[in-house]
Amino acid sequence: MVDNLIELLETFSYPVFRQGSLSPEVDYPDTFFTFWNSEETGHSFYDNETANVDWIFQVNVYSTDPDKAYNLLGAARTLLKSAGYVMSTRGYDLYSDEITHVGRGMVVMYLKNEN
Amino acid sequence: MAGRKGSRGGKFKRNQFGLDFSQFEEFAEELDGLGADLQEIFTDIMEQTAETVQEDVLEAMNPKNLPAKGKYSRQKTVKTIDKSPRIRWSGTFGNVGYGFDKTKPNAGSFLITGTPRMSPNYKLEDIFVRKKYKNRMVKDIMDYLMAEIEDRMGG
Repeated sequence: MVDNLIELLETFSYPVFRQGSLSPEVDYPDTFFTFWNSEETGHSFYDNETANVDWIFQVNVYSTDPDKAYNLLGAARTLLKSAGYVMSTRGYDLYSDEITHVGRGMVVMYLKNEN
Repeated sequence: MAGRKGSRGGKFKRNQFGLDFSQFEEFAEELDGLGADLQEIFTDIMEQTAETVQEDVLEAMNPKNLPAKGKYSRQKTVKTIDKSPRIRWSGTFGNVGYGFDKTKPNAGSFLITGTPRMSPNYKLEDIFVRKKYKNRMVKDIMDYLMAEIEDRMGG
């Protein structure tokens, strides 16, 4: 699922990083995505086997252009929704290490059938 | 969308922990039939839930759970934890605004989401993002309601 999420986000042609993976020595790119897998847990079980798994990700956009941060997160929401992800929030502001960048994030979920 | 860039969160200035109380409808009906004051019971439940979550947020702010073991502005961040949770009802959905008061400087919300250079705080994520924590709260509330029903039935 992580690969699937990265592949989808990469279609926007901006770098995709795991949250927390950027070194303090490296400058933020102008615009980029980060993600974090908060949870991968059994949702339902059948015959002693996991039938469905809940995947919960935080998906974030950071940009020097606030409009781009908002619009790109909106576009990512549309794309992920069409790929079967669901989201209960439309977005929230994020803290950025760099004063030059604005951050917007959302929590997305995917219910994956294991069979 | 004017003004959004400078917004500090407006009505979302606090982290919210919400529970849909319609899942406790059967218990509520039974308690109602036994003459219980439902408003008092559910307000009490929300207050206890808020208190538990607040204690867990404080525990999550223990230096050992923080980046660089809390070397950076832990005390200032702890001060932004809201000590007076307010309960808001929207239909059967109860919300407690608690956690970090984002209107104050150094609010610790970024610990939940992390930053590109800092991974999220696992324990805070547990409270605010993962389902397991909320499910445990729901189970505790169900146990509490069962005990209330048994008390009233003289069990």
